[in-house]
Amino acid sequence: MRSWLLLGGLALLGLVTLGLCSGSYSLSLSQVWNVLLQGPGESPENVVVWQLRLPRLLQAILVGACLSTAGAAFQSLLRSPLADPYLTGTSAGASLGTALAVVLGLNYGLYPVCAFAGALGAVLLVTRLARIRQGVRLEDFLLAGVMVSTLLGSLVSLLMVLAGRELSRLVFFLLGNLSGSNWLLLGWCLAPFVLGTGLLVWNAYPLNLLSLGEDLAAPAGVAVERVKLQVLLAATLLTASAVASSGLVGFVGLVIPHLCRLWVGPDMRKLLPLALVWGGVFLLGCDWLTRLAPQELPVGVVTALVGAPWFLWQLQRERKC
Amino acid sequence: MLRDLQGSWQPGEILGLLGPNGSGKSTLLRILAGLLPYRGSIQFENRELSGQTAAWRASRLSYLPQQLGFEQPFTAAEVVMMGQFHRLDRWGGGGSPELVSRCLERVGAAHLAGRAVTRLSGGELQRVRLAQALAQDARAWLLDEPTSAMDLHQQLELLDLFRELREQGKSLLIVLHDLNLARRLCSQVWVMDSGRVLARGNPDKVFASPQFEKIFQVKMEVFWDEKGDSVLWPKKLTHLESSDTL
Repeated sequence: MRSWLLLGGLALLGLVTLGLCSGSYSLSLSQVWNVLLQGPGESPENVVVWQLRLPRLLQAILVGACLSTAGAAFQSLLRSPLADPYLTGTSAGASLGTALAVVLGLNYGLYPVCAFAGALGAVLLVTRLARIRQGVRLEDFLLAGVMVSTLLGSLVSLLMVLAGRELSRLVFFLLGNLSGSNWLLLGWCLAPFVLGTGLLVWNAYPLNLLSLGEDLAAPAGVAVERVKLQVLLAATLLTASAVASSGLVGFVGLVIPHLCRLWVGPDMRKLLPLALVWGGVFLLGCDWLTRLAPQELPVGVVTALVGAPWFLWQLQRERKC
Repeated sequence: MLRDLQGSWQPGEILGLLGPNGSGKSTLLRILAGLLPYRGSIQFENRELSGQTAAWRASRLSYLPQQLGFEQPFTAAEVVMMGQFHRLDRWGGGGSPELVSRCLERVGAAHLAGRAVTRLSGGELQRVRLAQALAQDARAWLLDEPTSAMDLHQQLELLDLFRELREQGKSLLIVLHDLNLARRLCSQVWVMDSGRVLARGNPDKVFASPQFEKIFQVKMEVFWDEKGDSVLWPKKLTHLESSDTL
């Protein structure tokens, strides 16, 4: 596990360096280093590094880490390798929030706020629907998630028709992209990220028992309902903040935890840190690729284009072992 | 749905629970294990069960369900370590690896320690879960058909394990289908049907009772050998003998 974590850390460092230097305005390593030492300033190099590239790179790492840890949590909690951070209605809720903002003609800066509110609202609705006297039954949770997603999705479609000229903005958001990142947005993302990952790490070992079934966990002494609620809340916070800041970036939350599980096994105490680092690596790498294209691509498209073959290759290799 | 249930069970006692499928045996076990809600009162060491924390319960009651499948590839040793959950710190540290290997050894599963539980057979899984319960070291055990996945030799070893636990003052509540096993093991049996306990007491008396024959629609015959050991032989009731038939 240590070597995978170390490798991930090195990959992060390499990709950040690469991302700071390359782009339409090329910078040498020493230039970047000098600018970083100077702190924020007025020169063109300085603006490129401090205002454009650095927040975007950090945003990519943060969003990748959010989605990947949330995915790991959902997969463990729902005992399904197919679970992904969006199945709880977060994505549909966030889309609806943004679509509403677009249709109502709100300020661009308010989009993340609306997206976050939508995501949180959707998950509260799903949890409410799945709630029974004793607590939340996970099958009901999945089912309610799918239903609410469908319902909200059709509302988004309706709004898209009404959106008219603003449609392209909405579509661009829904495809997922990191081009709008800035320090303010990053700050917005940070609090839910810290709270969410903190809660997940706090529940990592109880989650191990829970992933073997409630019939095992509860009699062994796990406060099942409390752990479930905290994990659902944490994973939702992480997803909502990712969606609110960067739209719907698919695939990261599904595939990265899965790969990490192939590498280190199902123990959440190892899986969570690994998923956190490699989610960041993956999205950072994909974002770098989007900037290579002649016309900037939405990162969500690239994650799937790169991720699916890579994942299939890994799966194939694992089978042969 | 269980109704009008009343009874008690002492430290160092093995209580057998019998009854047709769907009579409520597993439900009773799940209620005691804290997996289902109940109305009325269930007390353990003079405390109401429903008001206690998960950790309090875990040190007093362990539960082995009938369905044993695992979907996550933890190793057998990791699963046994989880039995100590109520004594571990928040990160799963502070457990005793020696205890884990001792428990696995006790059930003859030491060689499985490093194997993924997703790749074990039914009998192997059963032993890993028993080792986990040993590691949990609760005062009372709830066992749902613990012998079902085991071969004859393993069943006899299991009987030895249960007797050893009884000597240590543990209380065992075991759902069984095998009457002869129940006679060899239990000081008391309860026979359930449609969510009620219809007969209880000494196994030999209960098995010979008219209620028992009516619930199971069988007639009991007892065979004795020259050493004085006896074996129960249930026979299907015919229409003529039965008071109310199918």
